[in-house]
Amino acid sequence: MRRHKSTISSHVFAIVALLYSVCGTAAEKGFPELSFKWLFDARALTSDSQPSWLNDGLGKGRYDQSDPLLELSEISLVAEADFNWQWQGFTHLKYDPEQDQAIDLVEAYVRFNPVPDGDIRYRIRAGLLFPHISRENRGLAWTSPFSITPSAINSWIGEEIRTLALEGSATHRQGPWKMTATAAIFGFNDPAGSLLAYRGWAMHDLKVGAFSRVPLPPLSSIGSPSAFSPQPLWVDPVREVDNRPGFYGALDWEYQRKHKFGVFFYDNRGDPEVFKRSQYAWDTHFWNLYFETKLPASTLLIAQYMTGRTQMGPESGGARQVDVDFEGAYLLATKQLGNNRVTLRRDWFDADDNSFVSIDNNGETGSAWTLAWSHKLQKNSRLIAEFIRIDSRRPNRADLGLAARQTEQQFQLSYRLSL
Amino acid sequence: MQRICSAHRSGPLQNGGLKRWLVELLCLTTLLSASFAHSGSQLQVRVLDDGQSPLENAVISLVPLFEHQPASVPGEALVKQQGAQFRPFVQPVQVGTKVSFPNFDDFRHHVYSFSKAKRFQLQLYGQDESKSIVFDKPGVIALGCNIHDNMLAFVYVTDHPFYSLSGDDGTVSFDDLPAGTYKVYAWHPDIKGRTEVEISSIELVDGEPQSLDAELILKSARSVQYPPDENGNY
Repeated sequence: MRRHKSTISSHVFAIVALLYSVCGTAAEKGFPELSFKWLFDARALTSDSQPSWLNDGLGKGRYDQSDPLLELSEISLVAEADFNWQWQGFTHLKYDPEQDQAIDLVEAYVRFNPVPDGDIRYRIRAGLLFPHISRENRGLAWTSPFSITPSAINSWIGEEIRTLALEGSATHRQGPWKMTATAAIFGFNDPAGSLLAYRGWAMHDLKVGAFSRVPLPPLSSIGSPSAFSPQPLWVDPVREVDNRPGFYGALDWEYQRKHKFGVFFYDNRGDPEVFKRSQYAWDTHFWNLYFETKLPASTLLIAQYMTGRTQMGPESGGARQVDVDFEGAYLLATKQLGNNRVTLRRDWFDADDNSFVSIDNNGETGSAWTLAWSHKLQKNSRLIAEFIRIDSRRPNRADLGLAARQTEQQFQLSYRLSL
Repeated sequence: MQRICSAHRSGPLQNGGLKRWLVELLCLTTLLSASFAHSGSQLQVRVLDDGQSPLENAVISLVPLFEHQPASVPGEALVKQQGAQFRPFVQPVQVGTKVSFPNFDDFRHHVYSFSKAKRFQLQLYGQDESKSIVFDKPGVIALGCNIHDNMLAFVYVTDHPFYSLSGDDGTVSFDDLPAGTYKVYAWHPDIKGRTEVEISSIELVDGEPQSLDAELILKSARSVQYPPDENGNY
């Protein structure tokens, strides 16, 4: 992938170090306490896909048939600090040789957990963070314990949704029920929606670093000379463009830790006509609903559904330059068998283009099957084998001389080591 | 009793098997009857929920309706933290009891209560560290840990002189009670109305063990202390 000039990585370290030193100054006995966890992930893979979206194509996976058999997919460092009894810091740095910034920041935030003085527990998070949307990425360094590749929905969260947020939550417990309300205001997520509109859904485990640039497919409609400022062939997902804060809110319920369900709403309140530093503020909003239930015999069922809309560019003839409705869902069943875990997932996704379809159709339909087997080798190492088959139809592929309908199959073997 | 036995022992026991056997038998029966005479009354309470199932973690307490010499000064009790769990789940204590909170885990716990009867927080840094709280008012104290959200336990502070906790078979046994009439109370973390209820009055007579059933009406939502989940989340 192309790299853009800068020494952003060194700034990342400076910011993190500053954050930790500021919060660590008022030291109490035994504080601050730092802990470091490493995640190392190496792959063997084979894919029959047309060029991936990361290689100037419209293939949906992280890899394609041109990629070598062996890949180092990431080395992550997760640093947690307890500054005192109520303040903590969390930082996730990732090294990925193929990422725009080889070393980049995934998340960095502080957390405030005051001692409850009533039966509602309050929590505050502030910093660069993933809103709690994904039901899959619950492992170390935002990995999924169920598969290598998250669903289409959560692949998108990993690449475009990251917020510089001030988030507050309130949790109330009543017997077996636990209810949490969350609200946040955020900035620095204005370009979110670009990939979903121009490239469509994808399925990969790439979590894009906050300072990294991601490519858009080389479609003739992007950046073509037109009445409005040209969008370049790349996106900086974590940027503030219009100086207008966005917000998200969520309600989550849990019953006896067995059944969980919730609703989440996100709106970056982007002003679709503002263009700054080569990026548009995309006006993107979506709903995310989920349901999770533990069944007998160590089986877990997870379902997630997302629906939303993204718009960009000035209005002409009553329509925005880009205006896409998107929708995705998956159903995942996973079963633990001693040191093994077997997971089967069905994904569905689609996008409807509401504007200028005849010259630039960003619509799409698709579905995927994922079968994964995870085997615990030792306490801190794991082998995951995954087969994924993605069927999709995207008319815009014609622009790259490809058939609209593509079936991609990919097999990956991942060795994950956590230290 | 000790005196009687030692008197027999110091007697002429070397006269042969039968005599020695008779003396020992006499000693034993004296001992048994003496202990019976001083054992007081026994009461067994079977605690049931409204579905007639045995109810664990209920506290049965007794108030004597006669002049009663209060027992010795309140003792000490423990609520452990082990494996990110409080143990026991319910700890009944008498008013004035000092309860220690030893940490058996090699990580921190931040124990707190916002209950009216006692508001406090304890910061336990590491393994083998223990801090204590004196519970000086009767009431129910719900315990939590600000680091491990799953942790939950109750300290039940009572000013009743006799109390005990039901086991998993739902039974509570009292031995050695002075004879007389008592009011019987019951409490459980999920009892409707939150406070203890009076079950009945009962007259206890020395040497006549009695039993009774206590049926409690509970809230539909039960309090549970969950262990950490398989991903280590609390």
